[in-house]
Amino acid sequence: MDLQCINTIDCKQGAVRAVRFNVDGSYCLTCGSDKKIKLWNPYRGLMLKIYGGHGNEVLDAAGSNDNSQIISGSADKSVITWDVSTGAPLRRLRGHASGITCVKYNEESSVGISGSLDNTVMIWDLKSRRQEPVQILNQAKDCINSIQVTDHEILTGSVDCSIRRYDIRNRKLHSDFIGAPIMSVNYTSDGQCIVVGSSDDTVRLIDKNTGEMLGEYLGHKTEDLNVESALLASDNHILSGSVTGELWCWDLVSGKVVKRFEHTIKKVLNSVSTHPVKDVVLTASVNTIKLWEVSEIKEDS
Amino acid sequence: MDDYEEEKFNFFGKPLEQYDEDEIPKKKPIFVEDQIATDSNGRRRFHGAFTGGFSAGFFNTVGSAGGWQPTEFKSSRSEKSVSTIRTAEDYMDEEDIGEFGIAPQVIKATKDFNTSKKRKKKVFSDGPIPGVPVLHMLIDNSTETIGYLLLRNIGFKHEGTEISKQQRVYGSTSAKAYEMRPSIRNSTYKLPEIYEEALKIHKNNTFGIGYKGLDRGYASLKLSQKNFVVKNVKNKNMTIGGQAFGVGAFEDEDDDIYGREDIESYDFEMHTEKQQEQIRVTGRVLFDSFILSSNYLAVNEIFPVPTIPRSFSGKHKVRKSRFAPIQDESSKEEPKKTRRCDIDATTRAEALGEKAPENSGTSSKSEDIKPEIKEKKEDVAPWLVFDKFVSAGQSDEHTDPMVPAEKSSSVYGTEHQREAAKLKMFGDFTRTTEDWLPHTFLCKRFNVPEPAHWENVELKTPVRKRNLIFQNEKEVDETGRVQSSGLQNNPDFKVPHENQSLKTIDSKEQSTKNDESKEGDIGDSTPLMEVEIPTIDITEKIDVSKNKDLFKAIFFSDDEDEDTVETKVESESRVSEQEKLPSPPPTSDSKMEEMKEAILAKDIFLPKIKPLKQGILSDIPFIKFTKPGTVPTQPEPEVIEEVPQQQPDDNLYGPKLPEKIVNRVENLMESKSDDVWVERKEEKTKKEKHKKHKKEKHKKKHKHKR
Repeated sequence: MDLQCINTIDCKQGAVRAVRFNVDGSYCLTCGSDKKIKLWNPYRGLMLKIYGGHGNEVLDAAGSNDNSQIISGSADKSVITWDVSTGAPLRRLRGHASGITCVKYNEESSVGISGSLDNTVMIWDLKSRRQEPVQILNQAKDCINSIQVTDHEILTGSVDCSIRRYDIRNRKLHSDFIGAPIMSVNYTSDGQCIVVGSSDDTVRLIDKNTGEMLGEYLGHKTEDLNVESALLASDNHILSGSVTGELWCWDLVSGKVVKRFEHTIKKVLNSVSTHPVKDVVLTASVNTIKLWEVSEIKEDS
Repeated sequence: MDDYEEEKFNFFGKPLEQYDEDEIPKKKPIFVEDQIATDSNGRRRFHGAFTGGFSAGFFNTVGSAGGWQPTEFKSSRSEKSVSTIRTAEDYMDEEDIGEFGIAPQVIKATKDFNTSKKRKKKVFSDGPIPGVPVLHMLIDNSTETIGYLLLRNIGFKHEGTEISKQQRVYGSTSAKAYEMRPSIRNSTYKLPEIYEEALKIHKNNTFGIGYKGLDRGYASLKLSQKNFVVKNVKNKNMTIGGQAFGVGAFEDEDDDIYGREDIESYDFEMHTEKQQEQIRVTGRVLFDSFILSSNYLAVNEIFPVPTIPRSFSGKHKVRKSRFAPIQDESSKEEPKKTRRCDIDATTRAEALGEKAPENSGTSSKSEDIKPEIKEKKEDVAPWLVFDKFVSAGQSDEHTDPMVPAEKSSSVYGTEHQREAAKLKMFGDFTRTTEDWLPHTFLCKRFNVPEPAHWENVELKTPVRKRNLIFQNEKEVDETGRVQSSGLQNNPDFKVPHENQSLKTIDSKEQSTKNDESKEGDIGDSTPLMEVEIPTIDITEKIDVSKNKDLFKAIFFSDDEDEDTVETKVESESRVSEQEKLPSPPPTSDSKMEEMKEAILAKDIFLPKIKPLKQGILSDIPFIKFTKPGTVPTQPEPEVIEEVPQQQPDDNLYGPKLPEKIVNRVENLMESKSDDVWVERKEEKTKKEKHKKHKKEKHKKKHKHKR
């Protein structure tokens, strides 16, 4: 398995804090330390729109399911929803006591979920004009670093070394102690396993229902930095960023390192985003993003 | 004759010079309305209907030189609006700023080169520490007292100074209580001239010496009203008149209708200067200008402090009237004030609800308190650290990105969890599951069925309430069953069905749900259920003794004696199921029928919640269980049938069944129909009487009560 870098884009945003595909993978969003969000066509390298309005660095963004809205969270403690075409901020949701690290839409994009450094996850109703969150999840004892949402679950990863899965259907909260501060959480495509990236230089594959560890992926270095991990759509490989600027790729089943791909040497590769359907990956490091596509391994003759 | 005419005229004065009419141009008389005001450049001033004040407009133009065109307020994200501070100078033109304007620009010397002799007040900046800086006050000239400085400021000249600059003493200002040098005290001061006049008048205000204040209204008749400045220059009164405001150049001032006449304006004397000088000063002169006044100031009357009688204690004694005796204070006790040393450490520990510290007797009190506090802290600290509140290692708003964030030292997870994680044994050890309640709104958005109640989703076992409905119905069932055997079919009432259903309910009920009426046959209800009991005629003799309260409710009459009722109660409480009925008085059949109907109409089947006076288990004959066969037999004067006493069967659960039921059931089962029928006939008459009697008794009873 090999990843080819198809495109490199200099975002000119200062440092790119997060890069995200939209719901169908045709566009991508970059969140910059210049307090702006940029909408790109990564395949062509075209910048489509800039969204400005945050008071501090933008740390995460997400696109709605109909591509009409963008939700973003910033270090200025506010969550903003934007209209994609006009670029105007629609709602500014204030409630968090500290900067927001991650935001996600639910499946219908009627609810926005934000996790923050104030140890809480707040659920916002985006259809009504309500200014307060619908619900606040404050079971975590330390900052929330990552959130994933499915049709009936909310998964949060926190610095307090636990991932918490809020099952709305069954009204249960399952918390799994991982042992190290968690940087990112991802579901596998079948929804049965969770990929957990933590700051002890380990990525783990955890079974959702039992909490057992199914796989461990080592080799990269994360140190203290918030380095994201992801899963290719085909569910065969696990990806992770690293402090050394390399994109690490492991085989999911065996746990062996397949390959390492360089983005920027010695500069941390902090954000990884995978295409929802295809085997396409976006990585962000310092001020550039790279678009990678899986190409067949050339067999050495 | 010219000479003759010239000689007769006397000429006085100097004749005017002859002038040529053509040479000198004639000046046209300029009328008032033609006189216009122009400025230095010849431009018209005072435009339009000008009646005074400042001239408006920029030489009758608007919107030139950027001064009068209102600027549009514009503020956008890229260009934020600039807040401009506007001064009066923006609205003035050259004429105003010029020499004769209202704000003439003058060239002055700067502060450093200002040679004015005025002592300027030192302004101390109001920083965090306001007022005079302490350092300034540390070292000061002590001989220059405040009085000295004031007088010097006025203009006093020190005569005969012995203090020279060399002798200036410097010391800290704190030393106030120093003796004044005799040289200072004795030296005389010369009063400047300007204060002489002012000091002649007795001063009864707190203004400065010679202060006059603002003019008291420019409407007074005196000329001084219009004077802008009155100056005395070498005894010549020079007045500068004029008005800087109000009236135009060509108009006369209107009469001031708002001015108030001042009587002082009429107070003047006509005297010569010589007379002025004759005002002499008699008496002793102090400071060259002060003399002892003839009027003495009113002496401030000092009232001494009232003497407090000895009996006064300072405590308010409440009395109903003035003449009432004073309440004795000794009877009232002051709230007991526990002094600190009175309480022992052990008592304190008890009061706080903590364990008493050891060695309370020997160690001092303070030591006792400390370990208590320490314990408390230790108990409290762990959850504080690990729950919500963590001491901030770094401030939230650190703006310098180059400062590396300090690593947090908090440890999460329980000991077991951490161990398990180290050993990579994830799963049971690391997983914890709790109940979590999503908000109903969240459920809506996620298309998930909502919980019934936001609060009550806790897994509670439903509280078992006493089903009083069934309880009462069971009573009815009992009554029905009493007359179970050999009763007429009554198609009107679908009693059997109900009885059946009631019986099924009964079987579920616990035996604890007993009440006064004997429902002891719960345990036996199951076997009874299977028996096909024919339709029961409810109009038949209802066992009143069983449903005493029910009948009380229905027939709330006082015909019955209390005693009889009481005896019944006693009998009920005993084990025996048999009735002990005194002979009922004979009553008519019609009344009986009435009563029957009344009973029916009253809907026995409606639930009536009975207040139980006795306990639930009071009617259970526990004796039966312990000692079978010890049922006390009572005389039954009107027993319907001679029922042989039966030994209570050990297999039967519950208190003994009423004999009749047992018999009847048995009879039914044995299909002794003939016998049964016979018995029933007998019963009927007797039971009717019996029933009537009972009802009357009940009625009587109620009457008594009233």
